[in-house]
Amino acid sequence: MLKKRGKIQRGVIVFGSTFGSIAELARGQWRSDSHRRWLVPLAIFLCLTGLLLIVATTVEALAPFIYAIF
Amino acid sequence: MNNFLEHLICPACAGALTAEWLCTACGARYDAPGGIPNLRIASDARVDVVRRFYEHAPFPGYAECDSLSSLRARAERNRFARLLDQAIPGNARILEIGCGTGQMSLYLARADRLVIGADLTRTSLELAVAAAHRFKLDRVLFLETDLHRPGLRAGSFDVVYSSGVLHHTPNPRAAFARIAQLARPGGMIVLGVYNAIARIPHRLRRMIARWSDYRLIPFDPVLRSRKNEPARREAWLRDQYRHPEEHRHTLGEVQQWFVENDVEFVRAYPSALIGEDTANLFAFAADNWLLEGWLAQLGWIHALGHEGGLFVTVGQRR
Repeated sequence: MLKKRGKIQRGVIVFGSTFGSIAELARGQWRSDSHRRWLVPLAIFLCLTGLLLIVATTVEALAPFIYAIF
Repeated sequence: MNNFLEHLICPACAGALTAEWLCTACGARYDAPGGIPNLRIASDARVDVVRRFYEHAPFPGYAECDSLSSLRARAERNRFARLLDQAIPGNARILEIGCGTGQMSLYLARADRLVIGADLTRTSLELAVAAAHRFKLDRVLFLETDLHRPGLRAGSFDVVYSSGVLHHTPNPRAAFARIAQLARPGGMIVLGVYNAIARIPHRLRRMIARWSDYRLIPFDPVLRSRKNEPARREAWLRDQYRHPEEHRHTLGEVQQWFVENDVEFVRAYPSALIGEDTANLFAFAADNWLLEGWLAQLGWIHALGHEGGLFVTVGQRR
């Protein structure tokens, strides 16, 4: 049976693979002769934005009372 | 009373009890003054300190003019209470350990459920019994007993609910081992304890309260909401700020207790999966990942900190 994963775990896996792809893209752009080195900061920016999005999902809403119900 | 007798035992030898509160095995005699069976035998000195502590201010206490409909309305407004009620079958045998003044037991005592509310403090139980009479509920029994030597039959309850109790015992881990045995195999255990991380804001509040000799207690919404109910305000103040025995636990710690006692982790409430919203309190969580659990507990500082950081863990006895 396939193990279900939690949202954050999925997020980290996706983020990890994205990071590898972005690094690959940055390396490719840096080495290429097409003068597109300007894309490297963009790749880093995208990476940081992804991280921010994952962190944003960790913010919990205020829970209702559990102890002081009555 | 016969409905309840099969779930009660002699706390000294675990023998069966007769309707006259006589142990059929060791001959010990108990009594039930005011309709509250007294199956409490001499307890640890630290446990006795806690018992005497609650005698002064029964917790949580009743508001004036409380009625069954107002109690149910208050519970229905609360998501956790609603989820708990929905998850428990209509014919379940429920045990509430540390029922205090009995509101949760009274709320859950509907349909064909049989509910036993157990507590250490007779003063609280007297209020619970008075409310049960007032509300005309007869499928609930309140019992004076110590969870370390409970007068309750092991393996005879479908649901064992204990919230805000174990963290006030001298050894919560050992106390959990005792209450886990009371659920039948396949039965559910609902356990609420203070979270070590989520209670940090409360500890800061308590520090300020102590420094100011309880004249200044900032950011406590429960205390604020009870400003016109002096008895209930005092009960909350004592329970949260002046308790002689308090422990705090992480989710991982509670999960370790579950493993040690053959209890399978079902879920935490609030969920330990970030962003997960559950409709069934007794449904297994999709995942149980350590790092996500820690992140969730950090989130609980904000989510639960206002109330003192109590979180609930649900388990199923194997």
